[in-house]
Amino acid sequence: MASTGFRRWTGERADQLDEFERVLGSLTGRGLSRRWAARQIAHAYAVLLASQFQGFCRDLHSECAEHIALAVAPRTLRTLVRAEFAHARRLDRGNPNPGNIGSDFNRLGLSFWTCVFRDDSRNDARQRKLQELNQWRNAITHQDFDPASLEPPRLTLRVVHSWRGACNGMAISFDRVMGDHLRSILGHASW
Amino acid sequence: MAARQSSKRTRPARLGVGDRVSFMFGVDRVEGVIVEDRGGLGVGGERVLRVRVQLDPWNTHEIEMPEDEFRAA
Repeated sequence: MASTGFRRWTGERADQLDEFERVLGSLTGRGLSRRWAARQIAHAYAVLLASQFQGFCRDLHSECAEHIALAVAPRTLRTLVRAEFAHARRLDRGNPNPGNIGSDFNRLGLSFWTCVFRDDSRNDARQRKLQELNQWRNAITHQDFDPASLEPPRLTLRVVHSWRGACNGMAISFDRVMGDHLRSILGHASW
Repeated sequence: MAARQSSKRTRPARLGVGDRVSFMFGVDRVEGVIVEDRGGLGVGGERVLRVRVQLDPWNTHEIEMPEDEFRAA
């Protein structure tokens, strides 16, 4: 079993990302105009990937918070626990960068990234890719490219593919780490 | 357990974004506005709603809770 957030990530969120692949595959023409269109699509794809990964992280956090809140007694305290978990949640406003993700998930009672790294040794490299994705996402949305490291032509579909692969790998670990964490603190499987 | 999950998932939405609702916050009933439908993220697939509530003139809070916790205001 997997969390609802993870099933959304591999379902409707993956479908939306796949749409970009299809659009790129249907591009016609040659030369400069095609390259320009391909670059714009790659930029839009990167922004969408960041936003869908943020949505996944937010879904997973909400789901975990609700499982924890339901275990609280007396019942009158549950709303207060829910309010605390939702209060100033960085993933509601900020990018899904490692700092924001760690800040929100740590509040659920674990050292999140330590557990994620322990879960899969590849997550260290994946986390660096996530950082890179977020830097590009900001540069694209603000149209502010650092000429030393973020030259627009460097962002190709292949690069976005590698970020998506990293997000997929991390999503699997996030889901597993939080499932294990909930089992250890609640005494039963949540998914 | 499976039947309970299924009924929660298939139950028609009772409340939606923009609705005014009330809910218990500690020992008081407070009012807020639904600002987001988070979908079936609750236990057993229960629908979770995000509500914005102003507890005083200076502070706005947002809380996510299962639909069953809310009453239409």
